Amino acid sequence: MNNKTSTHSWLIVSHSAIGRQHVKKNIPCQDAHYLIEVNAETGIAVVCDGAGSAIESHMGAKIVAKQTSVLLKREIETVAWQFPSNTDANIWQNISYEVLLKVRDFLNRFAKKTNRDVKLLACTVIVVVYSPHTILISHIGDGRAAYCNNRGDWQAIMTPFKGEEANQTMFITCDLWCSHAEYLECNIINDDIAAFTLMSDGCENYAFQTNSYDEEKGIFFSLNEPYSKFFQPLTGQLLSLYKQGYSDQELNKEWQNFIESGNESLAKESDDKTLILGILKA
Amino acid sequence: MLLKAEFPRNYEAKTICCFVLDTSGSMGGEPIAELNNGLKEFHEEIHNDETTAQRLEIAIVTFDNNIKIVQEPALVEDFAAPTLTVTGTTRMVDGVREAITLVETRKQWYKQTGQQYLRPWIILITDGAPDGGQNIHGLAQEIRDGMNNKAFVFLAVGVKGADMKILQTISGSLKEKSVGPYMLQGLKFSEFFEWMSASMAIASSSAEGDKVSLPKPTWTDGFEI
Repeated sequence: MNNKTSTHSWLIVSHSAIGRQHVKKNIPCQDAHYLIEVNAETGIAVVCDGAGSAIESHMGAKIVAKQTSVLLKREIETVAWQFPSNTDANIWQNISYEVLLKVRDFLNRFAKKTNRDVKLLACTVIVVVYSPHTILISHIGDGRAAYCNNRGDWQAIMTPFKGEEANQTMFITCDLWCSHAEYLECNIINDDIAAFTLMSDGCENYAFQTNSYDEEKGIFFSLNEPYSKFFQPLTGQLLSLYKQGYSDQELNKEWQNFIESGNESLAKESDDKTLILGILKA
Repeated sequence: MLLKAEFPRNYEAKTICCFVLDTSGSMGGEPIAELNNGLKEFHEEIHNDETTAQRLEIAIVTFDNNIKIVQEPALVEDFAAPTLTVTGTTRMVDGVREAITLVETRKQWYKQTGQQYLRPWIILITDGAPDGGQNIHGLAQEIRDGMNNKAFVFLAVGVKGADMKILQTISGSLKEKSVGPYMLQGLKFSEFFEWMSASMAIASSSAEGDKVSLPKPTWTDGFEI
């Protein structure tokens, strides 16, 4: 896992923590994340959540997180694509598709070479390219992501794919997304970016308002709203610690403590938890 | 802890567990007393587990010569454990069918009210053989289809005297692995329900796709799921 905390422009904290059920059942953390810098202002952040039903998905998640970052970085650095000045929705959709197909091919080759069923490596993937004025995001499966503009408004930038049951979703190893564009969601945000976040579903109920109840109608309804009372204090506190001279390592240690046991429910969460938070330094 | 934040309030995804319990005459005496005790302990265990208590809905169907929904689906805080009494014969097939309908109806209700849910569980406990003339094979097909279509997980538990061959016939499989039936050792209802509450805590918090691995039970020999 690559945990480099700050680029020149960004303060980034990240952590993948094992869930309580996984500890009890003696299975590894199936979440993985990867951060890679492209230049002083631009970088790539990836979060993968291995399928609980696939016994080696922790391995799949690690491979996909790293490969996606590395291959996309290579893509960004090609002359043909001048990020962020030359991005439109079609280009980004095509690049996402091609990169994730390559990652999928890599997984297939790895599985074949090591005599594995590739389905055992199933995982979701969320990939974010961040820069001060543009965010690119694409994803397969669930999890959440959001950004905050310089007016302090937090907004979701992806819609998780959920199956009929609460714990079902789509994985990079599924065939469906290759032939049906709607399962690979790609978005571009052009705004003055102050912060961004991406996370596995194990964190979503702590950082997002994911549902609510309408008492009058007696129905529950889904929401996809980053909870600003969660993010606002955290970005403030992290920036303040940074200004006090906390090192990358110390900041990440604080972040790790927070993700592991920031409140009683987070500490008790059964699912693996990954949360990346990037803040543009003032 | 240096970092502090506020957390939103979200509602939990629900799991329903429907017990289908044999209250025919042969369960009289010690077996029904132990079953009642076990149910009470189960209720208490879930009640004491704050997280599971908010996720797990329990329903109870009994069968003898009548089929009764003793408990409609509810969180433990909304009902008290019942005290079951015995009478008559064993309309097991009708009992299980009632449970299948009940969980399907509940699923529809979850959908209509916009609630997230996990796969329902149907747990059959019986000590006998079903009354003659009931369509065992029809039920077996319905259970197999239900398990294959991921509509529910069905678990059959036999108490001494149960016709395990019939329970075998109506048991389905998950990912080509058969699930049950299991024979309760002696009258270890207490252990069984303790295992059930631990299992339901896992199932109701599962982020696990199809596969849920449950704790090793002490109330039966040989267990694999």
